[in-house]
Amino acid sequence: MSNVEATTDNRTASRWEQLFDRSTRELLVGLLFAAPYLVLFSVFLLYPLLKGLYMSLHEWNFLEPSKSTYVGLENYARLLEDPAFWNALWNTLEFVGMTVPLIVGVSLVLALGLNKELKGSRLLQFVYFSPYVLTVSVVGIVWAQMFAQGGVGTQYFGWLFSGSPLNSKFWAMPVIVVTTVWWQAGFYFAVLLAARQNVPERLYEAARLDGAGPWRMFRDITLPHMKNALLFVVIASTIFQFQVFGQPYLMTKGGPVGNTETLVYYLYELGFQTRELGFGAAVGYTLLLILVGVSVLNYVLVGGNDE
Amino acid sequence: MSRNTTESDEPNSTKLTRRRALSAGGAALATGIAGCAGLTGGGGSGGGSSSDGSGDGGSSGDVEIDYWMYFGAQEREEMTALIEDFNAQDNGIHVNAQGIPFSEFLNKLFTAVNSGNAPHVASYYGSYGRHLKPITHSIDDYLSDGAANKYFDIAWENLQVDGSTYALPIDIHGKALYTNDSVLESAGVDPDFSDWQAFSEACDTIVSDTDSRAFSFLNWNSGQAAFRAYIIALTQAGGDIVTGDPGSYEVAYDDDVGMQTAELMSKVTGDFGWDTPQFQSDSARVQDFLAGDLGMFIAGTWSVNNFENESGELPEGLDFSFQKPFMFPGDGDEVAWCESNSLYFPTNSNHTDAEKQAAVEFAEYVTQNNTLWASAGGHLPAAKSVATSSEVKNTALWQDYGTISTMYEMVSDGQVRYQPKTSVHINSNRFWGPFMDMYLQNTDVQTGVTNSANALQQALDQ
Repeated sequence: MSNVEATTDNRTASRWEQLFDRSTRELLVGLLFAAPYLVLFSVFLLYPLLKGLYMSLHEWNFLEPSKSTYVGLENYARLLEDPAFWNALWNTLEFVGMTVPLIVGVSLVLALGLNKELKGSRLLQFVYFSPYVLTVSVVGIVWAQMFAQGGVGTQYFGWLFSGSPLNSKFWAMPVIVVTTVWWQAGFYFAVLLAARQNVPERLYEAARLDGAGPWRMFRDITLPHMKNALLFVVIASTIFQFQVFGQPYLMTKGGPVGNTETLVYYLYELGFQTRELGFGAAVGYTLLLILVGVSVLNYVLVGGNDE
Repeated sequence: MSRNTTESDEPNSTKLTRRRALSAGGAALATGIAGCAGLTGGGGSGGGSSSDGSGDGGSSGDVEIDYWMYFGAQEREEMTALIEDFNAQDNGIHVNAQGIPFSEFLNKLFTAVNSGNAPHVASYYGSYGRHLKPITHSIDDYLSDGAANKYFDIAWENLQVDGSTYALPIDIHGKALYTNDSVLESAGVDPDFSDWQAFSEACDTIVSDTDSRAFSFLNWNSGQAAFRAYIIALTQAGGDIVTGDPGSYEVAYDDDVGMQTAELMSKVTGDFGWDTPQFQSDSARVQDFLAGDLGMFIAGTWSVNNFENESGELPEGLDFSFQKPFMFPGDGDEVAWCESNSLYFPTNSNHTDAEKQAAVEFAEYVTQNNTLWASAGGHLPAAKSVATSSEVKNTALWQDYGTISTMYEMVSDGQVRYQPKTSVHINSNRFWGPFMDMYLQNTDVQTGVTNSANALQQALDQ
């Protein structure tokens, strides 16, 4: 490097240093690096989020947004008095309440079972994970066909229900739950299997030497070491299940008797069937608040005091 | 959403049978088109978005028209043939057609208009004029002289919204009663029903004396189907879906007449035991009908197409009738529900006047030269000269099966009625899902009708 270039660089550096102190400089550099993501985040997440909030305070005119009327919290007040909203909320809670424990339980059992070096365990890992690569459209249509009148599932389980369970107000939701568990457990199984494989084997060896049985080892070694992964599985699957839409849309259209109409399905109907976008946005924001609350609750109850 | 093959005036997934292929070929030859090369051979159901063959080959300088249709395989083939025919005329207009799945059609259309990307022409139901008014434009200034006189009055009047014309009708289609006369004969009942007493006795006899289900009122897992079936019985009972003027409609079917009609509908799978409280796929219901496991069902004029086997022939020994569905009880009018597949003209500020004119010319051509729509599609064309043409009258559908001829009679005698033109998407499951639940015995009639009526009234009030 020539002396002239070195002098120029020093002058530039000093100007840069004169303009900003060190922490500001670091902040600006950090922002510059984060800019690509921040742009995408702002355009595709932040803007819709704020626009949704704005819409929820209006009676929204779909075709001429400028003619939308500000109604304050009226949409939220209407929501509280709307039996369809409460029905959808109850159905969603019912779905989450059944699905999350099953997903956690099934994926944990699979992860613990396949952690052993058994013949064919690799193949089974692939088999259990594979449903997760399917789209909800494929899953919904296949399971809807299976449990339609005359479908193979309906025939096979004919002793359990008469006719298609998707037409039964008692069985429709359980079938959607089972469909969802079949579809998604594979992903959480992979997460938990990875967590289980990170538990040092020497701990089990020491425990065995101390005379600990399988249950004791599971309780005192496996569970504590998998706690973070389990917390992730519980929170992630809870958030995901609260947003269930594709399965009821494809399998039951929210029926029968609205028994499988979930919050997002209800939101969809408001937005795209009756085109009440302002009210729909209010439902969406309510769902957001519920999800934030549930996440905080999950964190407090299941974990969060980790050192 | 699983598609329905005979229920709807919607995408129809029936295969192209030999008769239809011959009809299509004949019509194409008659109009000088070189074969059926333009027919999309699509199977499948209702289909994803796709551009049809008609989209290629416009001459430079042609006015380009975009057309969105929701028709499924069979009807799409017929419409595509009509478009090919139009494009082949080389009249300075070229139409690019695109198929949009029916279930997403309205959403996509509204979004397209909102974003300034609407097509020039779009299919939808004639009764949706008020719902589509905010996103379509009137065509009175673009219509040719005397256009109104070319269509059946009832179809033309249905397309008027606040005194202006917003669409042109392709057809008039409706629902009526199919009877498997072999089943009726084995039960010893006369297949000619003029009143509820005769009909209900026949159904009871079929159930007691045969192994067949007597009567399927609805089976398609859709609110739209339930609505259409209900409205036939309700009108004959003297009830209405809504009363009052457009803009201030009041839901009316939660009165005694509406409740009683819903009760009757529910009893078909309940107390009467004429049908099982289960939805079949529509093709399964047709198979039951053809196999003699189902005596009678309500279905569209076009449903007969699905009776044919792959050779385009009816199953051997099938003896069926198609009759006006005027057997329901009550003091109302003997009218049946009807609808028109129609062509609308979505709003788009980018469309020039020449394009709008060309779009209407295309629509007039398609709606006034569509013998294929009858001979192969099973619909009664809305243009009078086409409906009564020898090409249509010589079809098996008119002469042998009596479906189109019966529909023609009903239209000519004022025995059909369109559903109310509301500003809301009235066919939505949101309003008619409870009727499906009543049919499935999942809810009682009082609750079902009340929920349905409240939801519709709430939407109308918005």
